[in-house]
Amino acid sequence: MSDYVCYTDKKRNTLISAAFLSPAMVLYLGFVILPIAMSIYYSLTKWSGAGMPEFIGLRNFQRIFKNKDYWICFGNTVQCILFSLALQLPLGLIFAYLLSRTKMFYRLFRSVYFLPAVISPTAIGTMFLIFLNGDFGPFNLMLKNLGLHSLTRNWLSDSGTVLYAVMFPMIWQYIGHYIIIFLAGVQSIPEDILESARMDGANSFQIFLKIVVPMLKHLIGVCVVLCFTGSVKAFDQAYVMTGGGPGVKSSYLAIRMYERAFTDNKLGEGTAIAITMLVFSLLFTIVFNKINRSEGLEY
Amino acid sequence: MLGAACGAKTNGSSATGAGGEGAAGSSQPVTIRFAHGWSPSGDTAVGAKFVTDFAQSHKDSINLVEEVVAGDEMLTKIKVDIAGDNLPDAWMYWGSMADSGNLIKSGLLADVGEYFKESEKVNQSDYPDAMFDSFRFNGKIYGIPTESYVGFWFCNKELFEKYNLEYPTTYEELLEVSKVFNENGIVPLAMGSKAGNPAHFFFSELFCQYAGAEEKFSELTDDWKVDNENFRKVAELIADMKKNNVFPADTVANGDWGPSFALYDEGKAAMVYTMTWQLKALSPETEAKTVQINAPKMPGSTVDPAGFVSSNSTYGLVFNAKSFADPAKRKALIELGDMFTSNEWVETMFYETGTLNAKDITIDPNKVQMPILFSVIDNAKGKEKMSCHWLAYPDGEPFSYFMEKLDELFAGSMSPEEFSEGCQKALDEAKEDR
Repeated sequence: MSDYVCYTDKKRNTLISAAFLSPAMVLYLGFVILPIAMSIYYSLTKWSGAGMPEFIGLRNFQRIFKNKDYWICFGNTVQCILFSLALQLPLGLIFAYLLSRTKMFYRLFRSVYFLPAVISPTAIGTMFLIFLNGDFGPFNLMLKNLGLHSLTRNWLSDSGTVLYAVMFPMIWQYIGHYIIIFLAGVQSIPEDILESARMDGANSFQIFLKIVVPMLKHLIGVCVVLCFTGSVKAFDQAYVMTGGGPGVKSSYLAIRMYERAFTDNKLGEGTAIAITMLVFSLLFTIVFNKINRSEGLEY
Repeated sequence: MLGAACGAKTNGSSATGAGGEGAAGSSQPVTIRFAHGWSPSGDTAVGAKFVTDFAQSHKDSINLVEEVVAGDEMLTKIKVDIAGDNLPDAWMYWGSMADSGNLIKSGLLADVGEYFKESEKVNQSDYPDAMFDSFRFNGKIYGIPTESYVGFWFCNKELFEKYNLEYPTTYEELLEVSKVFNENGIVPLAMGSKAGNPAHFFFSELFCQYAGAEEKFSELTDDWKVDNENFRKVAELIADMKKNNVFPADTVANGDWGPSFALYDEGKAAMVYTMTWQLKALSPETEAKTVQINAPKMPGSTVDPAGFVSSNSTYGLVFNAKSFADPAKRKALIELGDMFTSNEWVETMFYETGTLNAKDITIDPNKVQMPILFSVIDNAKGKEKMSCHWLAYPDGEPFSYFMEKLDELFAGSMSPEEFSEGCQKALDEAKEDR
């Protein structure tokens, strides 16, 4: 009898859980899974947007992998990811730690650091387009006035500098985003742990390296994934500043995808590029999560 | 659905024959979705007011739903709408196979020759035939040209006088004045290339100086051939101009319409080659110092630049073929078309905003608010009107390649040979893909 009651209770709980989960599940299926499935289908078709898509198997993928411009965009995206990971996260963490130790003007500094993250990327792109203008931009003027004439460049026309010129505004803009995430993490570390470390003679640098970083390991992991996926989708600043040019010298995969789909009317091929971006992101997330599986410090 | 139901009642009647009946006999107004780029503030307010007034005066028969999308974003909007099978009933769009080709070939645009036949207010012959070129395909026309342009070359008189220079008439003279301007920190010619703008017009201006330009246009459209001696010559000239610092050093940052014209307007550049729609951005101070000259004659060219002017129409009103086939909507669309072809529209837009229309009208110089625009148009009189080289591209994909690689050519990171071969290869691949 008690087994039966237990069974019906369990069944009822399952049904209740399913009822509560189903709206979210339906939304998730409808707005995430279904579009991904449709995108996979479109990536296997030749479609200009008009009429019915024509199924062509893997030909879009063959075309994009054979095209050297795709690989230039891929290389640019990889560089963007690496620079973002190497700069945004460490700087975000360092500034968050310093900010957490700031007593005066804490709110002001916090707002100032976060401010660029809330400005439209288009506005940031336009601002840097003017700032880095090789002929009349303030940046070259500043270098000249400092006697660093040899360092001046046509930042947005020079093949050697253009990628970094469009990458920098994006990296700069979103550092504040990570400062705020890490700041919340640093502030959640119990003060008594930090206090006891100080009493044991640890200096600020040691506390940062031996206590703060290990304790934020999971948060850093989340930020790595956020930073990676954000960089894979990099688009706005580069598109505003150079349109991905000259040629494809400053183009990322997202720009390539947009241009193939909406400029060249190759929706099938554009979607195939989007699918490759999805696969790279998934592979990275799976591999990273496997590597990052070990436990962080608990408190 | 309402349109279709109402359409059955007036099937076969011409738009003008439907009398004053709202929505072809129904008391309900027919809904027309119209996408355009005139927002109610700034430069576009005059156009926006026209559309609003049209909606107001036709509210009993037409429920005009406006979809305002500025600039090139209209291209993306329409492409998304095509994919979603959600095209508006009418919209403002660019001609040429590169922009409208996919729509025309997919049967999504209505033949506006039928509009001209049915409209009682305008005839196709009111427009110079060449103005339909960018909307023409297989003998039919798919857009009512509402804007046209004339290319011109301006010089800053003050800067030329300051450095005691003559206006250049040949390529060699252009290089000489460029040397002096560069020595004095002045950009000789405000011409850059960002996503191919405005460099593609400049490329075409030079292209037309070489013999047989129009035959080469046909070769491009019909045979998908672009890599010819004229094309290579122009690519080489651009590379040479780049080497001789005729353009700003940073051609990407100073590319696109706004930034390149701003260099001239702010006195940072001594010369500019651009189109009439840019004149709205010319300040009165710079206008007072401006002198128009003919483009300098390029080495080995056989066509006198004083004898032709780059002029055409690339923008206009297009109708959704499905909507135009619906008798109820057809009447409303013809009325909308009549507004854009009316002399009232053409004159107001010209006198108040400086927008040059494709329709032939007599200009009253006293009403022109921008005297320099009148002078540019006057200067073009009697000259041969040449279309643009890039308008002859038969497909969007190789055209995008041309535009993308122009940036590299202007930036000096691609050789003229690579550019010419690449453009031809893009055409060959697109042809094969079809």
